[in-house]
Amino acid sequence: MKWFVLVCSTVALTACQTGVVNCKEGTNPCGNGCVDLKHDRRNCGACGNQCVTGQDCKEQGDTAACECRPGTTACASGCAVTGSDPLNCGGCGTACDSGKYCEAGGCVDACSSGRVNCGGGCIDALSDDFHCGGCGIECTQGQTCKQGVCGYPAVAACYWSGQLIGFNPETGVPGPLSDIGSNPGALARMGSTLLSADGTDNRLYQAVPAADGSYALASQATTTGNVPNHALVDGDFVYLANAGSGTLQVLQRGNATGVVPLDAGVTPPLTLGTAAELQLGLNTFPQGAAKLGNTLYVPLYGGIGAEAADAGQEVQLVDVTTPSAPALLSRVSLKGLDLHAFDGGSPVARPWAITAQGDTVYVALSNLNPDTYAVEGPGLLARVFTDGGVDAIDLGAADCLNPQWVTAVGDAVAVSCGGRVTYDSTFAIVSVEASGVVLVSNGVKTAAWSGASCSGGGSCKPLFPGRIAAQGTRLLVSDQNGGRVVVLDTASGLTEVRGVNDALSLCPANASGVANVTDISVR
Amino acid sequence: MLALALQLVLSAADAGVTQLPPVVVTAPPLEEAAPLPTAPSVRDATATVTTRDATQARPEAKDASELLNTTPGVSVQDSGGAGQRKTLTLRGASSNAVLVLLDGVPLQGPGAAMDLSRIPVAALEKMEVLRGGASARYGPGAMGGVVNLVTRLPRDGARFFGDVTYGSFSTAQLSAGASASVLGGEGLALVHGLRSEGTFDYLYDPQPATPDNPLTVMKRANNATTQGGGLVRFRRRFGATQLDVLTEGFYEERGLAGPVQNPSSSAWQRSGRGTLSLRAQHDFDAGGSLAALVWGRVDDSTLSGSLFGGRYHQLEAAGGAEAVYTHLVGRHGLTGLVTGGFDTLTAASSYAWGRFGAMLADDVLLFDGAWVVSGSVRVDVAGPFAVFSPKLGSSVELPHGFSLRGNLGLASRPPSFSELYVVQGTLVPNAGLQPERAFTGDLGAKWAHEKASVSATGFVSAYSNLITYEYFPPNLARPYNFSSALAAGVELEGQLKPVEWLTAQASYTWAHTENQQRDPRYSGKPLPFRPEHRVHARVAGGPWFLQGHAELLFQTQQATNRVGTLFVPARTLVNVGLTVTPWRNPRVSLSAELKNLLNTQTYDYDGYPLPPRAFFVTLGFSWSPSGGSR
Repeated sequence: MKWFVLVCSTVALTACQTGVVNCKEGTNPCGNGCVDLKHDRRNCGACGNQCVTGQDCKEQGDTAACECRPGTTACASGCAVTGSDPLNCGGCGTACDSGKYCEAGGCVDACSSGRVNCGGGCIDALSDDFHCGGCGIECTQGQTCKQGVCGYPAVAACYWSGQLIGFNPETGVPGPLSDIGSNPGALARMGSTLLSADGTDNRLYQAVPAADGSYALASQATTTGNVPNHALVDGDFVYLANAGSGTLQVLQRGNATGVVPLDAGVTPPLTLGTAAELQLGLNTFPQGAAKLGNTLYVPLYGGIGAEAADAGQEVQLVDVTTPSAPALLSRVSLKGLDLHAFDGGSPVARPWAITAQGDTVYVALSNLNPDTYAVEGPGLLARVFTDGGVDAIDLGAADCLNPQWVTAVGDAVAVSCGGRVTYDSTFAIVSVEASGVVLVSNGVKTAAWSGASCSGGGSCKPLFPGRIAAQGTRLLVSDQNGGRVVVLDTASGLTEVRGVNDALSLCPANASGVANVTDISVR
Repeated sequence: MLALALQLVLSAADAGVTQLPPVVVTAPPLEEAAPLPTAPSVRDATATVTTRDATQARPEAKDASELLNTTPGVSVQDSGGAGQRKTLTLRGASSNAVLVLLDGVPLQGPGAAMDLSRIPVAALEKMEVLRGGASARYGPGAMGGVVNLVTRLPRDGARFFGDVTYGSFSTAQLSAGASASVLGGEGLALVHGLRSEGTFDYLYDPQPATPDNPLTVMKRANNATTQGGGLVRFRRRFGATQLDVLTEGFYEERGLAGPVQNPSSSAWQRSGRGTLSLRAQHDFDAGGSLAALVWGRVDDSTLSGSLFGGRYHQLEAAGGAEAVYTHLVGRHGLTGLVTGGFDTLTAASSYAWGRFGAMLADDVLLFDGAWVVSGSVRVDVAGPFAVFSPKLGSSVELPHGFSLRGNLGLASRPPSFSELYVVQGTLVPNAGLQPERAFTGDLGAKWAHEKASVSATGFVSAYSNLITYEYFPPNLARPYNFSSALAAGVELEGQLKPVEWLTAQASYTWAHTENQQRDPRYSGKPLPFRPEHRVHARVAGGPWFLQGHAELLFQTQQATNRVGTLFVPARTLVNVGLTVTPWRNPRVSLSAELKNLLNTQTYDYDGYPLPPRAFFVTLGFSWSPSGGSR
């Protein structure tokens, strides 16, 4: 650094800015660190501006302000939970008499069974967001109380800004952005620790929940292969599909092989090292993993171009009876499937994502030209059966082009469809065709939701659906074009809870104006 | 040399001599011809320039990149193997921000990178590397500096020469030519060719996440190259006017092996180049000198492979003219330059723009020419872009062989046609790009003696508005210019010739690069593919009939991404060679070269392995009926 200071002082370079704290997009310097001034209750709108109990820090244009949290009411005494606040029981200013307790908005003589008295209110410490696991233990904004532990119902990975962000898909309230690695590409949970496979650093980071609602980077990480694209947790093991190096990596809790220390970070809650690494072949580009019984199914996307693509278009079966000693089994070929090519098209299957449902493995096929990546056939969903059989379900060109992800929801599977994008000569988006989500049950498409409700013009930014996470009957659909999350419900077909126009905006845009959500992990 | 002549003239003027001394109007013999006006030593007299003699590099070096790699400030990235793509960075600047000239003719399109594997050393006389921003003298594209490739000189009298090389990886290379007095002047014709299968073994890590796992021996495939080309040069003097004509052509087919993790067995590239230049230089009796250059160049390239969306073809054509007038006025050596031309690119669509540039420079000689202060300003308009490039330089000759020099200036690189307009597979253009800019400065000292010389130069370059490709949804990449970077360091160079039969030279570069984006992932991180430390050392010696040499190239690790988390490890490469010359005229020599003696297994870019230990034998001859052995 000495030379740098010397150069700065002697050459007087205006670009030199020693002592400046650089922060990622969406965060600002506060002291020696960076904070999310729009979602940090301790630094809301400005460094040191703290929100009080019952308040969240809510984004308001370019700044933010403390406001009453969803589920609270603005009363003279502050933001009150009228269901359990003895001073505002059932409504502002309605105080319970001395010796009485507030429960479910009414004053009672004693708390019901299963509820405990916290300052005159009867609460369920297993689910109360303001007394979670004990009186006065308040979950921070965006978190909910589950089994007496605060946590985010969902966490999104912001690839281009290098951050994670927890959020509540029901209320739409996010927590603060947390810096984790360079480009988080895939998420998985092991206990309360979030695992973040970084697509640039080739490391699996551990993100540890912090008291302020952020995630802290643990001081050690695990070396991965190139471009870890998907992480699947199974007990004490994690299966990583490393697309760039064509390997399946098995990590094991308690194993220290390949664990590297980082310059800074909190004490790692896990030691997670490499127990095995299987080479699947050059140009195979494994994209994910799904487990059925003791067999792991790994879709092989294939390399760039027709010749290299031929190395993929298969599903590799791996015996993981002993996970630390996986063994390659056979491959299921997708090359013989009828891809329903459009006129003049010659697509390849391009297996892109995988999930297991019942006794069947589902593989989303993008159906693209191997050289140009142009969409040349309808979105397809391959089914791989345990007897090695395979077929494909046509998702319909009108509803689904270029499938991106597949996940199980209830007894159905949901497929996200990236669609076909048309640009004008300046590469502004002219139209997005057949993007959205389709629902498949028992081999039949049962519902479709279109994400192309706006196209380019005005302030509406088209949605490019990516990975989906299922939470109960809800689907959280990530956006690769705007850092957003759309929420759908599958209880009855596919209905919008939060559509494109009111999607949750979570990930900030990077310097080139690009934001996306690469993965969502649900609690 | 022109600058030296100018200095002599100005020195004379400074001493009160009012008539121009005859040195200006006396034509030097062609054999000792002055450097062309585009040569860095002439165009930018105070700049930091290293010259490499290509005649001494044969048969060690196959192409221009091997010669350049020995120069301080330079780092070459190699796709691996003879004829495979090789590019350079210079003082931290990317390959597309270094101007590469062939006798003053730009070899790359605006803002594009030059593949140095397409310049065989056999076609070169020498190479001049100007380090530091030079847009004020050479125009846009010279942010990192200028590499001027000087083609082989025609010589008086008949002479025939050639060599043939064969060696590892089924590599064969040949060149043959003749030089003669023709049409009242001197002419040279040369043909050259290269064929290499490029198949070599390399070590591959099949389990990159597992430490200390055994590596696998793999064979590099689809790495073959076939090259061929020719060059004709003619020059003649008509009184005070010298005429120089050059035409050159090159053709190549090569496999594109791809990175080791995702190889391609069928991707290929076919390319051709043709260059024609006509130069005239006239020295006026009344003082002053006018040099004019007219040139044209076509580049045709076809790429086949998925990265290019199947098959991609493009044709580039460019032409230009330049006139430089230099005149002495008192102590001021004034130079005026005007240049104009066009650049076109035809791919799926056609793109074209015109170029215009004008430069004014004043070289002021003080203290009998011991102190030179050079100022210049240049304005260039290229298509939609206009850039202003000023520069101030100075050099001081001190007693006992010491000298000092320093330079400060602004330089630029225009966006390339590809970045602006052309869709290449998943890379899409951005017509809104603006030129990159650089503020550059250096300060150097040199001590030169009859038998030794040492120089040290410190430099700093602040690059802004840099263009980088970024993700563009849903699955594309697009260039934007928001990056900035700083490069600073020291270049040391020394030569020693204690006795006639022994020479030693060495260079060291410390080049610290820093990404200056505000994002903490990138801020302060080294720029990818810029090793911080590089050392080159070479010892050669022996009597004329038996000469040997040994060469060492060392460089520290280099980041392969901009967040500084992945690296290509440090490397040490050692080359040795021996040449036996039983006869001097006709000169016949037999050379043996052992490259990468230590069999270092390494790679460049991101997964392009470099060849292991290799052995080459070269048989060379030259014959001059009138005597002489060169």
